[in-house]
Amino acid sequence: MERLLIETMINSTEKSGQIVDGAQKTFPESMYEMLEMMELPLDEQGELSMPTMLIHPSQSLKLESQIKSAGLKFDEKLSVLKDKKKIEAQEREGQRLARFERRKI
Amino acid sequence: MTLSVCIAIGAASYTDSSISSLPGAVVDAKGFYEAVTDSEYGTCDEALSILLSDPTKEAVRVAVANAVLNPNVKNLTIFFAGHGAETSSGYFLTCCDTLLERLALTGLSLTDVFQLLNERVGLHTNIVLDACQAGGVAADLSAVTKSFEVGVAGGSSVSILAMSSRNEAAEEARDGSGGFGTKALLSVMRGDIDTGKNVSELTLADIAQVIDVRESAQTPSFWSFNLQGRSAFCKNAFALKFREKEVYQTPEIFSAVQVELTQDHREHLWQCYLDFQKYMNARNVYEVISTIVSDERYRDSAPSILSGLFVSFLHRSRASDDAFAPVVLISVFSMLASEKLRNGPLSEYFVKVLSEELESILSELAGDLEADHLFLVKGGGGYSEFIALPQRISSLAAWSLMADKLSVLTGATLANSSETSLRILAALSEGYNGAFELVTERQAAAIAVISAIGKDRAESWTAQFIGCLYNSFFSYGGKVARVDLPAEKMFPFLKHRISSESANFQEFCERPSEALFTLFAAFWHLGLLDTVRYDLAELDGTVLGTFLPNSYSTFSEKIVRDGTNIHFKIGFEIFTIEDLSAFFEHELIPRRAAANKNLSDIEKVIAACAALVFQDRVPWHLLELEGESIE
Repeated sequence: MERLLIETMINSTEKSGQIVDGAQKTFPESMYEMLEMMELPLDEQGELSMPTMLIHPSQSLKLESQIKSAGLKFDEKLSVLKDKKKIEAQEREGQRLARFERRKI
Repeated sequence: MTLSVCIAIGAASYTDSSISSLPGAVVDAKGFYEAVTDSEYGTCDEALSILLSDPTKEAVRVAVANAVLNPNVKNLTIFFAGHGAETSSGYFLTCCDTLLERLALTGLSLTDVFQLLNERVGLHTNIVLDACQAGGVAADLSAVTKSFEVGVAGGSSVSILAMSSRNEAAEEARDGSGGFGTKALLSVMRGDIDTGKNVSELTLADIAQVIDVRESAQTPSFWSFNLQGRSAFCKNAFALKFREKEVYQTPEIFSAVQVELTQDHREHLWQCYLDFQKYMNARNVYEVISTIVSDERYRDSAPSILSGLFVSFLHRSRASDDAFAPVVLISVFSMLASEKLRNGPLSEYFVKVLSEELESILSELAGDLEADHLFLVKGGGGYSEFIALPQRISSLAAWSLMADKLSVLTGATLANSSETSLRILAALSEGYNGAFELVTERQAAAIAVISAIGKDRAESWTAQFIGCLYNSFFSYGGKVARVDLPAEKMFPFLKHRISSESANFQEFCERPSEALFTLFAAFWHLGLLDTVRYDLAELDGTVLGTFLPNSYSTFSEKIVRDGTNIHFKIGFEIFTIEDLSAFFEHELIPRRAAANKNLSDIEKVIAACAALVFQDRVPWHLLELEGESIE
């Protein structure tokens, strides 16, 4: 079931151009590029809802070490992106909520 | 040529001086014989019927054997007035040559009679016993029904009315005018007492329902196990005399072929019959009988089996603690006749009986509700009433409105039906307004029926009811019990309902909510959507949905396989009441219209009953728009 779900997702994202080719990039770079492309929603507490990443166990140590070695500069860059994404999500949420009819006071 | 024959036995005098004479017994037998052979009241052939005064045991056996061996006889009635006694060997009737000291050898037992009856196929036998301890035949009946070789299990079909229970004496009047039991029986047969039925001919079960022997402190009892088809006992003299226009014929469904059920079917059927006296599990009754009537081996006999079992089960359901058990039972049989057998006349007959039963129950209930404002919680079970009472109110209101519609549909012209319905709704508003709450998804079916029928019959009451349920949804943070919440989780759910936690959809609540969907559809149907215009923001993220079958031909099945689930999420697809209207118009109505295609009025009613009985499906087919009325 999980395999089918992932295969379907790959086919679908390839068709819609939502693919980040990470072959020539480090993992932090690929991850940043991927987040930049995505429309991230807010969770029930109004915070940015970050996506879940599926990583093969054999790769996890390698990727963790790449993130660590990316350093503070990368962390700051990612933080700025998250803030930007949160503002965008809040704007979208505001527009969505504005579609409800509310009593005029 | 089919004939009904009677053997009326009066055992007044005995050769054994230790057995006291009973002069009234012959008077009873004669009176009964005259009534059943009188064309005004009875249905028995006078030439073939016999009156036996003080017969020997052998004379009775010969008379029964002669009737049984006549292939034209389809209905046999055996009436016995005399002494009866229960011993460790069974229940025995006394004939003139019976010896008290040798009762098992010289008395007439029910097993003797069944052995003779078993010689014939396609025969229904009514047995009336006006004798002491006549209720003692129950033990014999139970034994013979379990035996494959003897009696009803082998295929015969029998109904027994005993005028006294197993520990009571059957008394007779001192003026020699006969036994109190027979007098009460004759007064029903001669039309002095109204059975409330409009069928042209009564069954012994119809008589048993109204017979009154309180004068002599006797308790009549009735048993029936019938696989051959509905069998007339006498004419419906009261209805024919006082409301002839309302009298209708019952479909003639009687199997000339002996119905021999497999041991497995017999055991399930018998267990199901015994089980539902106190609590009726409608799904279980449906499944057990459905398995039998759907079996190819009984294909030709299926209508007879269903109509015969109907008499037996309906009488049994009247002993239930639940006043609505007969209504539920009749609904189940209607579903089986309509969906399993596709038998129009039988379906129509069951619906007519349902209409009469509802009218009778609701009239009584209206009086009770008006007299006692706590009537619906009498004997209530503490906290369970927080769940049960709102459901009971929803069901009662829905059945009341259904009754009103049924009476028009069946042409029964029950003048009081509409009035009764309004009395019940008024009593509910007056005494139970605080319990107009949405507590479980199981109320969705009743909400749909109330809004669909109530719009024309009681619009302001319906609007008030729907409004209360809707408000309660908000009051309890949308915490509504899922449709399949087991009984043991009801108390934890109630605690969850009054807590400040969000709705727990894993354990207690359901997503999508069909009940809230039905409430919104009700507002839309009633033209009241504007009243909820500003509420949708508060319901942001709530998922609502329902199921629509492709057709209603299998709507009573446990799982309806062909159909569509439609749903939406507020704040995503739906933001305004205009969006809601559009959803109902474009998603709900076209599917409802497609499923309604070629659906007869009777089928519509039966599908609505299925929803009210099983409560896990919504009868959207009732939601009719302007100009679409089924009447």
